[in-house]
Amino acid sequence: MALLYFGGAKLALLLSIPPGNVAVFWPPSGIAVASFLVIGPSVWPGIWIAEFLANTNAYNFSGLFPSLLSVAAGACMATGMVVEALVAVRLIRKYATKNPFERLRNTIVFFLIAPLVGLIGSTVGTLSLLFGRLLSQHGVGRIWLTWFIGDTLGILLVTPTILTVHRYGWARLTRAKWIEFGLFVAAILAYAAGVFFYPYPGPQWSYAVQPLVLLLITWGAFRFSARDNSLAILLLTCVALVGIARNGGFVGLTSLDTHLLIQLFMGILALLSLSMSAITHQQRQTEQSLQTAKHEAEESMRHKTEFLNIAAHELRTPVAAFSLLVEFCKKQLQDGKRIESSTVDRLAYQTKLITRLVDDLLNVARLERGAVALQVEPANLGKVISGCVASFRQQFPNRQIAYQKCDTDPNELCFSFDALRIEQVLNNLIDNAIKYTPEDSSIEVTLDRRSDAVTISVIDHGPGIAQKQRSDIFSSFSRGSSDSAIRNAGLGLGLFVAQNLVRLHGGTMGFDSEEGRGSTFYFTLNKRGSPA
Amino acid sequence: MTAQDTILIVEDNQDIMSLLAYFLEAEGYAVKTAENGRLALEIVQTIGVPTLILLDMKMPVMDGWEFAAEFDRRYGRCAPIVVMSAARDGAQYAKEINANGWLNKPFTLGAVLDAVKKFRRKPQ
Repeated sequence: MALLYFGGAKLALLLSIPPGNVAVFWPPSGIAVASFLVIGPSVWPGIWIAEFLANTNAYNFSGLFPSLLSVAAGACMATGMVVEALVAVRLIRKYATKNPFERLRNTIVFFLIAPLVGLIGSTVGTLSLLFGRLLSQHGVGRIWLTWFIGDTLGILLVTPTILTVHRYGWARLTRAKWIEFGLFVAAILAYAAGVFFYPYPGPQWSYAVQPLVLLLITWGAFRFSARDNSLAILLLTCVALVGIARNGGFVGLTSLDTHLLIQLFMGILALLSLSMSAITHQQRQTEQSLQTAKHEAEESMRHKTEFLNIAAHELRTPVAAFSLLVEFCKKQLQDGKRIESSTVDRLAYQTKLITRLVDDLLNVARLERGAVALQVEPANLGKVISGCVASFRQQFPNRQIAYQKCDTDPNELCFSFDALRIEQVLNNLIDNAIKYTPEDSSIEVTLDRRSDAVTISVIDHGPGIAQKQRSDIFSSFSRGSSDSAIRNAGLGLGLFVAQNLVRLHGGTMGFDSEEGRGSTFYFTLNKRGSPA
Repeated sequence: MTAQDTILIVEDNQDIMSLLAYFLEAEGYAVKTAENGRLALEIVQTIGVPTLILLDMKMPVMDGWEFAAEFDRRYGRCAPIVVMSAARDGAQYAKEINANGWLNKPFTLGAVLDAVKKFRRKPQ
C-alpha cells in the first residue's frame, strides 16, 4: 500500500504545474483514506513514511545534509496527511458507512467529507512548507488552494475506485456487457482525447461536443456499477491531466488555472456519476427485494394451497366415513334393527379424528399469530409422561410403548409448566412414532435429568427420516413419507405445534434419525427457565 | 376372464370401504374390497375383471394412478372406473387416469348408487 502510495505521489508530482510543485491532483490522499477504510488505521506508519519520502523527493530537501527544519517540515506534511486520512475515515465510517456508494445519502455525505478533510492536509502542508522555508509568503494562497483541490480530488476520485473494486472485485460481466463496457470506455477516451488533446482553440463544433460528457456519465450510471463509473472518471481525469501537461491550459487561462478548473469539473462529474450509480444501485436492490418478497409470497401461497389441499383431503375422508356411518344408522333404524355399539365406536372414532384435525388447524393458526397463552402452574413432569404413555397403551393395546424413568427423586421433577401443553407435545411425538412405524416395532419414552434441565425423548425403530425431509421437518406443512402419511390421517402439523409449544416454555426440540434404524425426537425443558 | 357383476371397491379407509360394501351388497351387487392398488390387482387376477371399479386415489403401497396404469397395461380398459376422491377436484384425477366418472368425498349413498347404476358395465 505504501508503494502504491509512493507511486501515485510520484506520478502526481510529474503532472504538477510546474512539474515538481504542489500537485493539482493528489491520488495518495485517496489511497490513504481507502487503505485506512479497507485495511484499518494500523497502516498509518506505511502511509506516513511514503508521504514523507514523496515530499522529500519533491522538495529536494533530502540532499546530502538536509536541514533539520526542512526534514521537520516533511514530517509535518506526512503527519498532516495521516491525520487527514484518519479524520476522513472516522467521519466516513460514522456518517457514510464503510461502503458509501450504495446509497445516495451516503454518497453525498462522502462528497461533503472529502473537502472538509482536504482542509487539514492542505493547511498543515502549506504551513509546513512555509515554516520549512520551502515556500515564499507570496504564493501561499495559491499553493494552499492547489493543495486543497489536489487532496480533495484525490479522495473523491481514488477512494471510490479502490473501495468499489475491493467491494465488488474485478468485473465479472457477460460478453454483451463487456462489449458495452468497451464501447463506454472507448467513448470516454474519444471524448477526453477530443477535448483535452485537440489543439486549442478547437473548431467551434468542439464546444458543442463538450456537454456530451453528461450523456456518457448518465450512460455509465444507469448501465454500470459505481466501480466501473469511478474507474471511468479516474481514466478521464488522467487523460485530462496528461492532455493539459502536453498542450498547456485552455485559452485565456494558465495551465494551473485550467488544471484547477478541470479538477473542479471532474469532482462534479464524480459526484453526479456516483450519485446516479447509487440511485441505480438502490433501485436495483429495491427491485431485487421486491422480487424476493414476491417469490416468498408465491412460495408461501403455494404452500398454503398445498396445505389446504391436504387439509381438505384429510378432513373429507373422515367426514365421508362419518356421513356413510350416519346413513347406515338411519337404514338400521328404518329396518327396525338396533345400532351396534361397534358402529357407535366407529362414529366416535371418526368424530375424534375430525376434531383432532380441526384442533390441529386451530392450534397452528393460534401459534402463527402468537395467540397461545400458557397456563403455567407447578406440576410433576413424571406424572404427565406416565399419564400420556398409559393413555396411548390403552388406545393402542397392540403397540409396545415403554417408559424409562430416570433415577431421580420424583419431587425433582416438580416445576412450573403448562401441563396440558406439554402433554400435547408428548402426544404429538408419540402419535407420530405410532403413525410412522410398523406395528411390530416398539416405542420408548425416556426421561433424563441433568442439573436443572430435563430431556424427554420419544424413540422409535421405524424407517427413519429421509435426508431431504430433515431440513423442514418442523415446518407447518411437513409430513413424513406419503405412504405412511396417507395411511394415517394427519395434517403434518404435529411437530410444528410441538416445537412451538416447547419454545413457548423456553425449551428446545430436536431430533436424531437414521434411515432404516429409526428416529429419536426429544425436547428439553429448563426447570429454572421462565416460560414466555 | 370377467367376474360376473362384481363391483371392486379399492379404498384404504376401512369405514368407507366396509360401509360401501355393505350398502352395495344390500342393493344386490356382489362386492370385493381391496385396501390398495396392489391387493386390487391380485383380486382382479383371481376373480377376473369386475363390472365396475370404485377407486380411491391416495392410498399406500399402490395408489390409484399406479393401479389404473397397471390395470390398463394388463387388461386394457375393459372395466369402467369411478374415482372416489377427497381432493378438491375429483374431476381432474378422473381425467388424469381416463376414468369414466368421479365421486367427491364426502359423498351421499345416493350419489354412489347413481354412479354405480350409470357406469357399471352390464354383465354379459
